[in-house]
Amino acid sequence: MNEGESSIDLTPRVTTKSSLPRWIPGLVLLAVALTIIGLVWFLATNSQSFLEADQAVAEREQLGDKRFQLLGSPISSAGPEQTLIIGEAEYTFFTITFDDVYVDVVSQGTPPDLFDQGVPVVLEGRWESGPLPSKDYVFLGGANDGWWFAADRILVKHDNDYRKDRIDDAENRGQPDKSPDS
Amino acid sequence: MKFKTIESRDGQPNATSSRSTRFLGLCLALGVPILVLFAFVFSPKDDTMDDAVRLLYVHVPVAIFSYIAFGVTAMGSIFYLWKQSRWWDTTAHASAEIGVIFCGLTLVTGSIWGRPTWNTWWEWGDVRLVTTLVMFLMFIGYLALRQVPATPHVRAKRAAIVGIVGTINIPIVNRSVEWWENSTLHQQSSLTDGNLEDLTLFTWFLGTLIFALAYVWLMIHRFRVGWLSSEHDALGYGAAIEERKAEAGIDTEAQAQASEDGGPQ
Repeated sequence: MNEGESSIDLTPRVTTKSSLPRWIPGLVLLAVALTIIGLVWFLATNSQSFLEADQAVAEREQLGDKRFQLLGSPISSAGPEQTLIIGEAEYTFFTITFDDVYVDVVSQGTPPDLFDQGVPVVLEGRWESGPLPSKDYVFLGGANDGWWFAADRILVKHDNDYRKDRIDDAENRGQPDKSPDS
Repeated sequence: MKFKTIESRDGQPNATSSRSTRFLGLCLALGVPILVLFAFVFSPKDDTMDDAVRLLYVHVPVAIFSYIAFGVTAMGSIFYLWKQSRWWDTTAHASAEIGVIFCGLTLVTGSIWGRPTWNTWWEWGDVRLVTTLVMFLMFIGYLALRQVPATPHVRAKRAAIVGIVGTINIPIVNRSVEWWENSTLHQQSSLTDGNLEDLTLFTWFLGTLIFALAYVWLMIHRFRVGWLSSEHDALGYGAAIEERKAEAGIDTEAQAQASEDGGPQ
């Protein structure tokens, strides 16, 4: 060691301590790992899965009164004659289809703006059997088999077609024009 | 690395712009109003979605460039681990920041789209929405990790690992509408199915071009800020060592001469 170096003050300087603890990187890596595990778990088990109308009819017994999401296309738009106020609640009556299997639906509330014939919808609710909220109601072109789907939420599964001719094309193929299986 | 930036009298850059970035910025400044004009005036409404269709011109491009940005982060991370080059680390960091902004915009515009179209702002069980949110959070985590004090190499190495791991989610997000078709309200790709046409297709293309320019412009500036910042850090370390030696009265040149002569180290 030379003379110059021997005169260096080797006492560690007092440095400002970082406000972040040393275990933070480990915590971030743990959070990343947990996020990945959570994502895999979500994709494998917990993500929603829509039951297509034909599948829901086939599994009606097993489903019982379990709440699920039903996918199908309305066979008509919701006209004023399909909306009834019973007691204090407003109900909309319509029929959806998937693969030529029809399901009658009674939904609470007003359908969303994009609700239309042939535009696929996802309904949240459960199977019901027996009398409808309006006992004498008959679903035009519907199943009318004593079973109906009691929905309290309507989501629209809009398709990816933005062409001007898509409605004409769909009509040429036959209605319902934009069923999810088309 | 030296950039052709605006330099002040002391020779230090005082801006991150250069002739090429100013040209790029000008194109962007001119392009945005043109896009707004096409999006709101010239392109038609949709028969069923009405004006909501105009969100296509922002939502789809920002989603595409968030994938690209995170892809560049992954590439930068891989090359950093391989080459240990500060250039790649700075590239990965810059791209991740821009990717987070674009991904945030994707989530916000998607939610605004969802309310009139799907009848919901957000669905917690929806595969596309949740995987996109996870992607966003992963890269927020990446940026948070970079703020943890460490030596530049340790920080870059930790970030590179998270950057690579986070990118695994990109194909899941992108393909989720095909792989889990009945688990998402989100539509499949309109472009690959040929379901955009005329002015709708043109405006979408214009939007993609404008956001590509925005990505490149932001990327160059953010890279330069990052590079200058790391230069400053390196300068700081050097200056601190020199200061310490000066305090101790060491003549560095004499010491160097002594070591060359075989003296004690």
